[in-house]
Amino acid sequence: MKEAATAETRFREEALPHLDAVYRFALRLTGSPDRAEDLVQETFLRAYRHWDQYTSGTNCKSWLFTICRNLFLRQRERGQRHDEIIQENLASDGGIAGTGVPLVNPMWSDPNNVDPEGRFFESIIDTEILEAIDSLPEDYRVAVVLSDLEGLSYAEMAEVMDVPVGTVKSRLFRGRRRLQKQLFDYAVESGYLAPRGATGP
Amino acid sequence: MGSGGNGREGCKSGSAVRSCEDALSRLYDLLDGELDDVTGEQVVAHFEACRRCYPHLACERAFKTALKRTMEGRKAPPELRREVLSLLEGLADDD
Repeated sequence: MKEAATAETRFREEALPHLDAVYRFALRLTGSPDRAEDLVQETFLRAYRHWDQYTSGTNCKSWLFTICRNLFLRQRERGQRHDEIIQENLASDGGIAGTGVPLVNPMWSDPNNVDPEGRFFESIIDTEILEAIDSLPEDYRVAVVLSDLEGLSYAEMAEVMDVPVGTVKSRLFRGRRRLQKQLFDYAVESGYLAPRGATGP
Repeated sequence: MGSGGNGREGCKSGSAVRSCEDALSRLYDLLDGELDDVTGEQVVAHFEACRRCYPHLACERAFKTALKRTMEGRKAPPELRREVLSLLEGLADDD
């Protein structure tokens, strides 16, 4: 009896503090607050049941995220949501981490760039950014969410995503570039930015 | 596996930043906190001194900041927290 009380206490102290983060992750995975809530409950349920598999003091957040993602994938296999499958081509064709994504981001290297500090990002409202993130293919979205929204390291991401670090970086770079282009185009459409190469009214 | 192979993932090489391409290839490692202090300082030093590269650091940083900002203050709904807590209490009772 006493042992169970200790396990529950440890769970509350170590796992529960990550509830908000797991919810945020679940929301980006499922795209729906209702499904996110279900996924969070299932995640913590499963985590509690498998608590003996977790070594206290190691990376609880990554562990929970891994459970969450695996549950989501299993749900998805049952046909709830389909996303496009990305052809991963990790052949070394230069660019960043062999992705073929050009090292020099043309958006920032335009000599007519009137915003060399990227201030226009401050003008874009959060909902627009989140919509853009949500429109990314899932593998890219997960990478961007884990790194840029939740601050996981590459090693942690490799664990959650169950891929090598090289793949993490590749998806991250491609996802970020796609996202930047979308936000950049949105900023131009919304008038926050002059179109590239514009020379005046 | 070519130059993109797994052996270089550590990003902790500590080798000097010799060119703009060097610095740019480590920009994300820097912003993602994956570089050791020494290498990190060298990379930052290049961006701050190089007029051509600086906008890349500034813009990518602004980008990451904007993304992080979207999650500020976002928490799980209170009823979800309560539900998870009562789930746990139910399970603990079963133990």
